[in-house]
Amino acid sequence: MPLLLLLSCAEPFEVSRHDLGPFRVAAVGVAEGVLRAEVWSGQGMGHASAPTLQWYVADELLGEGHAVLAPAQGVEVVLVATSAGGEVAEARFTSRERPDRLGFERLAVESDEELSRESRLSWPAQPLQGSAEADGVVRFQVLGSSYPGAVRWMTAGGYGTLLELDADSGDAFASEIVFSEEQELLSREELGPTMTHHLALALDGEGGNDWIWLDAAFGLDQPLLRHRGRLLPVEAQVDAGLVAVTLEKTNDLDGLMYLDALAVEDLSEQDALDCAPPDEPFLLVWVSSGRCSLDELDGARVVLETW
Amino acid sequence: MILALVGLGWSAELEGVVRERGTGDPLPNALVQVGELSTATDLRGRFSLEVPDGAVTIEVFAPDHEAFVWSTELPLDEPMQVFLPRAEPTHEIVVEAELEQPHVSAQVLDKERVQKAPGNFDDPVRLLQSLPGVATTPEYSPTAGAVVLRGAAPAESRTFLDGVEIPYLFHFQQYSSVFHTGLLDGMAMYPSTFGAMYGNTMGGVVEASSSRPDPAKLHGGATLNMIMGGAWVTAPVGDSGGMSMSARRSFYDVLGFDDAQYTLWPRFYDYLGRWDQDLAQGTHHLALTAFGAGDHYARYLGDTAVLDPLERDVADEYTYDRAFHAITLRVDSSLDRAQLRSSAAFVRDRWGGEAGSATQELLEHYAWFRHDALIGESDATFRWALGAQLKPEWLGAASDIQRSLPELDVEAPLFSRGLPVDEGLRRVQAGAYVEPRITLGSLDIHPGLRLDGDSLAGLSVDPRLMLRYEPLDRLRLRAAAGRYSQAPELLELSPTVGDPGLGIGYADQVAGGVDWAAFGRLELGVDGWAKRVHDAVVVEPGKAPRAVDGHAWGVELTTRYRMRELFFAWASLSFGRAWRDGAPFDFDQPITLNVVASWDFLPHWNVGVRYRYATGLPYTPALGGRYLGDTDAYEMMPGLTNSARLPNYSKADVHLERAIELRRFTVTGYLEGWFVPPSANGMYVVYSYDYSQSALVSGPVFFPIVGARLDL
Repeated sequence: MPLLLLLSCAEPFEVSRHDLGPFRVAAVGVAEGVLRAEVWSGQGMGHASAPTLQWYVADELLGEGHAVLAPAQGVEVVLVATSAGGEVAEARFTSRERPDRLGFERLAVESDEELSRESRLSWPAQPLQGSAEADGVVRFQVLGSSYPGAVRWMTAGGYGTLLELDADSGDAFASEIVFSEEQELLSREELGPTMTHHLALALDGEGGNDWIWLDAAFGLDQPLLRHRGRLLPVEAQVDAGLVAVTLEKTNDLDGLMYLDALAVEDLSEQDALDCAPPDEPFLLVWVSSGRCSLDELDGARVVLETW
Repeated sequence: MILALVGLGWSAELEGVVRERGTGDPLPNALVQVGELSTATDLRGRFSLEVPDGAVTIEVFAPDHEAFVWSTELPLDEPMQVFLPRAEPTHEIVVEAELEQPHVSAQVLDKERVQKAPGNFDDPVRLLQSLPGVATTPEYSPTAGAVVLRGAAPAESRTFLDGVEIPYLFHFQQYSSVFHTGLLDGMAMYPSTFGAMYGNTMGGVVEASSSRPDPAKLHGGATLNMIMGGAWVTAPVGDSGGMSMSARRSFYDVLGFDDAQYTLWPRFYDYLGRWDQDLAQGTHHLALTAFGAGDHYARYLGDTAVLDPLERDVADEYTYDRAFHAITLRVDSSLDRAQLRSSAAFVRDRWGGEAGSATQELLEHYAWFRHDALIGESDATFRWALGAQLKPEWLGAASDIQRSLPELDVEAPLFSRGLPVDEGLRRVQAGAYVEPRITLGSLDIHPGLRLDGDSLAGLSVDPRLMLRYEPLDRLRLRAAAGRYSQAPELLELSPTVGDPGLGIGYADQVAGGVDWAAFGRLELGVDGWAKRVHDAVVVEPGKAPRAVDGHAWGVELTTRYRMRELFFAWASLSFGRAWRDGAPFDFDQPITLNVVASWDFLPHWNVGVRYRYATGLPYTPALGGRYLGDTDAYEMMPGLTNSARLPNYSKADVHLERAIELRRFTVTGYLEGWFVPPSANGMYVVYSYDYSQSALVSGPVFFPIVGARLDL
C-alpha cells in the first residue's frame, strides 16, 4: 500500500550527482575538432598528477591525452581516464562538434529566507562584477541557444550549494543547504567569506556538449581577476587584458594561488610548459581538466587572458 | 392435535419465520415446538401453529444451529421472527489438492476457505504466492504480484477469469487482485504439466471463476480496508435468472498524501457484472459477464534521492495509465452424455504512459472463441475431452520516445525500448485438442494431443500424458509429461521494437507426485517436477527481445492437518532451481517455506498465523558505472548475470477476526499485522547516480492493517 512506500527506506548515498566528489569524468565532447574531457580530480580544482586519457573507437585505441582529433561525426567514442592513483573512470559519447560556445552572466541577487524556486524567481537581480555579500546569492545565467535541455550543474567538492532556477540559470550560495525529500529546508549553514566553483554543462542530446566553470565569490575583499567564468583572487588590482601570474600550488579546493599579478603586453613572461602551447595565453580549464598537473604548474609563470 | 386443543380455551395461530442469524437465510425443516405441539418450517422458513393462549415456552431447533428457547405470553401482536446462530463457525481449509481436476498438479483456493488466512487483507487471491511451486516475492517490491510458477517467467503463465485470459491479475504492486472477491467463486492453479485443454503456455495456468447468483435470495456485501473499498450484490431474477455486480476503488489519491516519489498516488478500480439465465429447464446455462480494471498513477522519473529537491520542479514525471475491459458470453450445456461449454469474449487493453513530453500507447484488442466438450458418462471407462480455440488479436503500438528509459521496463515497455514506433500488428491464433480420458478401475489415463497455430510464429504439436493411480484408499500416485508450446507476445514480434524472427518456444515438462491421507486428518503430499525450456523469449530492459534456453527442477512437500473444523494447519516446503541462458533464472528460489495455521478459538472469533521463508531472489550486481556523455547520465556496468542475491526473505502475518452476527447480516472486523525481521526485509537494490555505491531498500518491519466487511 502507498503508506508502505513511505516507510520503505535505504541508507543515503555519500555521493551526489550535483557534487564533484570522487575522481570521475564530469563532461566529454568535441571542440574545434579535438576530443576533450573534463576529468574531475577528486581532490579539487586541479590534479596533483595528470590523469591518463585513452580514447577508443570500436575497441580500437584512437589516441591518448588531450590533443586527440575527433573521429567523424556520429561515431561512438569511449574514454578511459586513469588517475595517478589508479582510479579508472569510463565515459561513452557520440562524437559531435559542440554546436555553440557557452557564454554566461553573473548577477547579484537580493534574496530573502524563502528558497523555493517560486520565491527565487521573484528576486531582483543585477549584474555582478566581483564578490557578493558573504551571505548573499550569486546567480548564473548560462547563454547558449543551441542546447535545448536544461543546464546540468555540479559543485566542486560539494562546497557551497547551487539551486537550479530554470533551464539556464542557477543560484549559488556560500552555504551548506539541506532539504528534506519533501523539499522542506532542514538546515542552512553559512560558510563565511569564501569562493565556490560550479561546472555548468550544456547538452544537445546528440553528443554536442559544452561546459564552463563558473566561480562565485562571497564577502571577499581581495581584487578578483576575471578569466572566463573563473574569479582569481590577487594581491593588488590589475588592469584587465593579458595578465601574468605566478602559480603556487595549494592543498585546498582551489589548488592554486595567483601571485605577482602584472598586466603585460604579450606572452614573453610565460614559462614554457610541456602541457601547454607557448604561443597561446594559458587557460585554467587545462588545470581543472587534468591537462596540466599542479605539480607541473607549481612555481610556473603564465599569462592569462582576463577581462 | 390441534383439534385436541379446541375446547381447552382460546387458541391462536402462532406464525413466524425462522432464519439463520447473520445471513438472513430462511431455514427449512426447522422444528418449532410449543409444549407437546410442534411443526416444521417450510422451504421459506415459515411456520404456523395453533396454540392456546397463555404462558408458553417456544423452542426452535434446526440442524447445525443453536436452539432458540423463549418463554412468553400468547397471543403475540405480530408474527415471530426467529434468528438462529450457527452452532459452529464455518470451517476453513486453506488449500487443497483438488481430486477432480484433470491435471496432475493442481492447487485450488476456495474463497470461503481462505478468507481468514493471514496476510490476505480480505483478498484470497493474494494467497497465491503461498502455494507450493509459486515463487515468493517481497510484497510491495517491484516484483510483487509476479506469478512465477515452477521456474516459469510471469509472461509464460496465463491467468483466466471465467475462461478468458486477463491482461494482469493484481493491481499496482499486488495491493489487491483485479476483481472483487465477494463474487469470486474459486481459483485453481496448475503450476505445470496440465492437460491438453490449455495451450500457448509454457509455464502454468491460474484459473479464477466468478460465482453464479444464488437463485433463492439476494446476497450482497461491502468491504473496506486501508487499501480500497467496494461493494457487491447478487440477486435472483425471475425463476431462472440472476444478476451479480461488484465495484471497488482505492482511495489514497483522494486523501492526497504527500510523498517524495509520487505526484499522483496510485488509484485503481475494478468492476464485474454478470447475468445468468437457465435455459431449457436448466439443460443450458447462459452467463453474460462484463468486467474490467484500471490503474493510474504518476511519479517522478529517476530516484528522488539523487534529485535536487528544487530540481524536481523541472524533472520529468512518468504517468502510468492502464485499463482493460472484457465482455464474455458463455453457454454451458449438460446433456445426457456430454458436458459442453462454448464461450466468446472481447477484450480491450489500453496501456498508456507519458514521460515528460513523450507518450506511449499499447492498444490491444482480442476476441476469444472457445468450445470445450467432455463426452461420455461420468462413470464411463472411456470419455473424450476435446475442444478448439480461436483468438484474433490486434495491437497498436505508438511512441515518440527518443531514448531508452530502462527503469520503466515493467511500467512502460515502449519507453524502456526507447525507439519511436507507430505501427499496427495483427495475428490469429488457433488451437485444438483431444484428450481421451480412460478409467481402468483405480487407474486414470489421459493421453492428449494439442495443435496450435499462430499466423506469425508458426505451428506447434504438443503431446501430453497424465496418469493417476489409487492403489489404496488413502494413497494416490500421479505422473504426467508433455510438451507445452508458446508463441511470442505480439509486441515481441514487432519489426520496430521486437524481433519478427522469433519463433514458437516450448517447454518439455515432467511431474509426479504422491498423496497420502496418513492418519485421517493429516494429509501428506510430495511432488517432483522438471522442465527443459527452449526458445523462451526474454525482454531485457532497453533491448530487443531474444530467445534463450533453460531448465528447472523442484521438489515440493505439502502437509495439511485439520481438527474438528476449528483448527487447520498447512505447510509446504519447496526445493528447486531454475536457470536461463546459463545463469540463474530471475526468480530462482532454491528454498521456500510456507506455514499457515488458523484457529476458531471462540465462537465468532478467529486467529491465524502465516509464516513465509524464501531464499532471496537473484539480481545482477553493478561493477560500476560508465558515464554517458550524450545525456550526462550513467549506465550500469553489470557483473555476472544474477550472481548476487537479495537477503533471504521471511515474514510472519497475524490475523485476528471477529464476526458479529446481526439479524439479517454479518459484520466482520479484522486486524492484521506483519512482522519482517530487519535482516530479511530487502526488497531491491538501488545504486548511486554513478553506480559507485549501492544500498538495499527495505520495507517496513511491522505494519498493521484493519478492515471490515459486511455480508448480507
